[in-house]
Amino acid sequence: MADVEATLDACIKCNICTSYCPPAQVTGAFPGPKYAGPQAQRFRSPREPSPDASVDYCNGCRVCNLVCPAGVKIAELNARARASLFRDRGGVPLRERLLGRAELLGRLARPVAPVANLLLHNAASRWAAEVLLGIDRRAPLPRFANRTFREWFSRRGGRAREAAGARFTTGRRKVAYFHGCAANYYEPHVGRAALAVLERNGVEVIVPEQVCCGLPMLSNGDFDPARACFQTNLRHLAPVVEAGYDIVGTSTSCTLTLKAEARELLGDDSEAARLVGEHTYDVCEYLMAMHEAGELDTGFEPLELRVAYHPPCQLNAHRIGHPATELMAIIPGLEVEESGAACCGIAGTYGLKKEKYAVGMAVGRPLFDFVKDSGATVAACDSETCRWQITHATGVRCLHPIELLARAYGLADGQA
Amino acid sequence: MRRISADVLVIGGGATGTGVARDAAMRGLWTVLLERRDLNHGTTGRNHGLLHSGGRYAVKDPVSARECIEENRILRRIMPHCIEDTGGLFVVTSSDDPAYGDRFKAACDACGIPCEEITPAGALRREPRLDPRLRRAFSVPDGAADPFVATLATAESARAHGARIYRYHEVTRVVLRGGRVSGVVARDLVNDEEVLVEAAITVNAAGAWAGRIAALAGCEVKIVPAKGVMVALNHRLVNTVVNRCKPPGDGDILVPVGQVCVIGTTSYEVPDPENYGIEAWEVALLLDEGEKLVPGFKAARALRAWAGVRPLYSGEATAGGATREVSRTFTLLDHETRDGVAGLLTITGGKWTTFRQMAQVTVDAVCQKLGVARPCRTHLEPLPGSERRDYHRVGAPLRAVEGGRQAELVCECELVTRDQVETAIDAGAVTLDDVRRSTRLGMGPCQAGFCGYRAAGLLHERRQPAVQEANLALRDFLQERWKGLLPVLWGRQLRQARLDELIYLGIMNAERLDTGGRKSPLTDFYLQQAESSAHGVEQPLTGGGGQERHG
Amino acid sequence: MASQDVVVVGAGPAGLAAALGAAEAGARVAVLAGGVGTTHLAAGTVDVLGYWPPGAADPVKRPREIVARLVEEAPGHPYALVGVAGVEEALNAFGRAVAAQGLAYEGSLDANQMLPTPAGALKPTCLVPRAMAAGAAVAEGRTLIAGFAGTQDFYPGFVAANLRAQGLDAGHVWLDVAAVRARRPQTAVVLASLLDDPAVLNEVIRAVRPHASGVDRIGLPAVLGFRRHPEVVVRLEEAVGVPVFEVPTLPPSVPGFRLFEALRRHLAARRVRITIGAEVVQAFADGDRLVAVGTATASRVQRHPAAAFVLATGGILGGGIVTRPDGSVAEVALGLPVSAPAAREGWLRPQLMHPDGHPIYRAGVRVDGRLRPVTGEGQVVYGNVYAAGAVLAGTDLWREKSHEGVSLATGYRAGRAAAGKSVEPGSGEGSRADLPTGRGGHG
Repeated sequence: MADVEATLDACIKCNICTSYCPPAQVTGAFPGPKYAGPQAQRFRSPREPSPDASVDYCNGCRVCNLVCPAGVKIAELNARARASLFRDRGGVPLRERLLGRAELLGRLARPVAPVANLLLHNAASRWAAEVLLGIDRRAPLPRFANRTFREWFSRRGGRAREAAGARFTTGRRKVAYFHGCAANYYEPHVGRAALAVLERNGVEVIVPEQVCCGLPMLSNGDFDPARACFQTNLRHLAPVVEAGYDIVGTSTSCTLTLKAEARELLGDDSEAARLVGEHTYDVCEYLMAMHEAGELDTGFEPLELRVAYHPPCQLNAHRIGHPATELMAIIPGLEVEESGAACCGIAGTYGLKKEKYAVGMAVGRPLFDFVKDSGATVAACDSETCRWQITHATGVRCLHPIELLARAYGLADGQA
Repeated sequence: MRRISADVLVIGGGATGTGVARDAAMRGLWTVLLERRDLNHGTTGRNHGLLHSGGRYAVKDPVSARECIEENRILRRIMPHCIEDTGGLFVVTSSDDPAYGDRFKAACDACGIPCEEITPAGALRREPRLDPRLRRAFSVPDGAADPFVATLATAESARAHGARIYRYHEVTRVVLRGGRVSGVVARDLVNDEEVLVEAAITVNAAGAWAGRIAALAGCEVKIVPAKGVMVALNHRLVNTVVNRCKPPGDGDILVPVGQVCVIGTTSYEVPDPENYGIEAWEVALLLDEGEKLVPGFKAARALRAWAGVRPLYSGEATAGGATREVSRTFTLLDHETRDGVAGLLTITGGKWTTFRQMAQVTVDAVCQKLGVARPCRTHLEPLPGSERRDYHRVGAPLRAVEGGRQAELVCECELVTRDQVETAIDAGAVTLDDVRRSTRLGMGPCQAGFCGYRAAGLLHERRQPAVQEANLALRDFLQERWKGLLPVLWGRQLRQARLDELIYLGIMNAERLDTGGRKSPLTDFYLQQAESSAHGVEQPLTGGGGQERHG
Repeated sequence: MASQDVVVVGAGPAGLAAALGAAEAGARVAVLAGGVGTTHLAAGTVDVLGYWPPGAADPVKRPREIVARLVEEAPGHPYALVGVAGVEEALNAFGRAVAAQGLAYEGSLDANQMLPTPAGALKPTCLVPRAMAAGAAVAEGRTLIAGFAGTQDFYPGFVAANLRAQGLDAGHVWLDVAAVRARRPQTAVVLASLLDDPAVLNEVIRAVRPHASGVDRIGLPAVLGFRRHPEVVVRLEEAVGVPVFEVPTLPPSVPGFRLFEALRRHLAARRVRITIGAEVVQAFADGDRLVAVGTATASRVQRHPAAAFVLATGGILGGGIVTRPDGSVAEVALGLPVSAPAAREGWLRPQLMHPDGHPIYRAGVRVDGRLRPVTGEGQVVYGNVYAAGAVLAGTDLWREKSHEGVSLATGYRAGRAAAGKSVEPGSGEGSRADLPTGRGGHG
């Protein structure tokens, strides 16, 4: 694994990253990835207080990493600099700590979900959250589901199950499903769709013990608890991988974190981290690999739908192409238009923050225009926060591609 | 001929010369300084950036060691802004003799150098990139210094006390009148005219060139020009000065200075302080030695290499270029008692850390000769720029441009703003390299790839010279950077150089800009230095690729 | 990844031309690139051959003639492999493609045009974006060079003074446009997007207009709009009443971004998938055939099988060729043999701007007449791999001013060859009789 800091040596100062950087295109508050990353890094010392606060305006979308001709890990340099910045300011701010703890919020709110939703989604409390915490009152916040994915799964029996009509025998492929916080607390239907599609294809699916992947903490500069989460996950997941399971997730952020992001940001080069990383897949990536191996049931029913699909930044950071686009293309009748836009602007929790909400909305403008102009009735995106942002900005319903696949299989979600 | 007169004439605009000028001016002497190029152009501007604690010399050269620790304390007081308080470590690596540590510690104690042994684990906590196999570590008060800023601040102080400093004035003749040096004739290289400078006392502080100045007065001063090669890496791999705890040798000190870290040095006698190359084996040796301190060192990006020529003074000739055997202490020569030539003093030897003491001793002698009884005060009065009484910090330039000033950057790598460049131009920079010395323009990874054009544009804008002069300034500057790049061009730095070629050749066609056959005082110097360092490719090649091989 | 007919490695001018050539020949094409290529850095012009020999004092006037001569004089030069007809074929295909996307280029192989550079030199170039075309007329009448005050990347006084030093009639002006002055960061692309805003454009017009009388044309830094570029230029010209032209800037290059975007759109319409951020790190071979390339992902190597491959990873700048302190030189993506000076001592000359250039920059992959990489002994390495652009040995693109010409000509040719369109060495399009590779398995 490459030493993040050492990659700054590869920078040839060409500023291609700055020219593609979504926040730099819309705000002067962020001086750009080259500036904040490999350039500023030469002026940072572990012995001195952080000299620059503007690096906090990096939204972590990683477009810079993607276009960089030299392989500099710019976004990771920035994420680490943000963590140092907070450390030097006497700790991670309350808001950032809160936004990093999606899981804790989920755990607290779940038993009283309707009340929590009411509390969270009324004008007075949003006003209070803005004034007290700096969370923009307009920003898209999710709603807690009445029942978590884990609860649903455990009611179902808590074990892998063979789907009726599955073409392949159970046991041929074994998957441990990483639902993450979003599919557990907010969108259990995404998890159910993934399970249904995998089982339909004869995959044995278990749901291992797991905690938050830690990405919200990492991107909010809160590294210590993120390290604890990652270690806990490794403890749960490494034995599962050793037992022959692949880790498959529906959140491109969680899977990216398990694959590489946590290892790079936290500098974890343990064997367990390598093992889990190498066996983690995004759900569409996994299904596409099955398809290439001739193992995917392509008996889809036609879906007469026009979909505006946005491959999220987190997916691009996987560097696996756009498997969802290829999968959806197999569904008869489904017309998929792929956005060429860089970023929706939410970047996890970035666009929720009061001073960054407008930046996020401006960053997402080209995408929102694309969705609105596409004439699509439905949008699709692999990342939850992006889905919420797209719906927030356009009013168009946004699904995970796995939900479309499930529908095309005729796997109606009996569980609202 | 233009005439200038003074009590004291100082020849040489490095640390020592400006130090002498300041001291003399502060004691009320009417002082003139002549430098044949820019301040800092010589050895001071080609140095390691190391504020010695004296530890390096404690075992073999205790006189030097004591001078160092004394001056170390004074410089921290009078010019904290030129110093980064990195501290220093002496580490016994797995390839060094652990017993040397005991000798080292005892010698430091004897010289009064605060030295404390710390555990290997403690050393690794402080510098995590060090080779974990290190056996012992000692902490000393080394520091990182910015000799460029220090000299400029010293010169500014000298001027404030009435000294007149003339750059690009090359001494061509020493005027002897009745066995006494009464002044010099110098050539003003910019205006191409002769100047006569008359002074009661002339101080030869020409560093590695001091022998030549003395020769103009008919005196023989045997200076051993000892070339020391250094290589800067693109970013700091350590934040403490790291020395090998062993008898002094090549490549045994790694200094984090500014945004880079510098490994150095070598020490070899060269015949001519003006004309020397940086050999490929020297660079390879330094990188190998760096690897012993910091694993992965050789894989890091080397930015640039340079060499300084130490003015080592030896009463008699040394055998076989063994320049490490010559003491690093300094010597003041009174040519009246030594050679029967009155009115001339030569101050030589020493090192950057002791420049102030060298100046003090020199001006004490000057005062004695002039019958002036004013004590030295250079150790008491802080230098301009040190008002905040705080050490320099790595992050300071970044902090200074936070909050919107990023758009004013001319040199993005080193965060040099337009204001700074314009100030340097207005202060009479003759070349863009002069601007570099006072601002750090072009000293970062891209080595003027982007800022060279901007600086040439600004130079043209501010001065409105014949455009050929701006073109020449640009070409000179790029060639000046090139000479230091040549020894380390491979991998990422060669890729950078190719981007710089895309800019200047591919986009600008700058190789065809008209310079009207002009040359600056340094055009030939830049080319000649590059020629000394480039070993192959002499024959012009057209079309083909020369000797080729397949791999 | 699903198998393709052709996988192109690299998304600079050579890679995009290869994708174009292969797609036009009917192949299913995917482009994989570690990052974006030199298109984004260079001036955005199509330089075919500016100086020959590279150190010549006078520019090439008629590239067609000199390219033809070069085929004879320098058999190792990439142009000798594709011939004048190959160059012309590629330029035509390029011109059609970008024009179809609303980005017109002007000029032909018959004559180079001399365009003002940001240093005020004149640079010979063959095809010129419409927005730079008026700059080619600086020899006639009076030219005003305008720059934006408060920005650091363009010095109109310097440009104009150098034009005057060449006997041309030129003046300059600094425009103080508040919106430009206030914008941060100030890279060219950011400023170009700013000028897309009609309100900002109006400010610019207000600043320029007073200086437009008595001049025959106005040159500005190449930031005249990004998404709405053609419109911005038209508006500006109408408002100031004289032709306006762009002068290239320090990288990154807005005209280069526009060029990339036009080609990307054109290729996307032909179902060519371009993946940026997919660095090829592994080659999967079966004897003398390359079966697949592997790209680095966040955690594993991903295989991309194809029937044929085009290597267009660039030279030392593009990252296709790496150099090491021990003097070794390597081709990165596929580990192909490289032709390079024998030792590091032979890489560079003491004079940076030596007219003959630095031998290391001529290092690269050597190919046969069909652009297939060969060993030192001339053996083809893989029968189904073609190489194009700056990764090729035998040319110093910046000194010759031949970057885009070499890239487009070899790229387009390689793309067609990879798609099964065989061509005779050094000629225009040949017959299809001699198929070097089979077509991909999937239809």
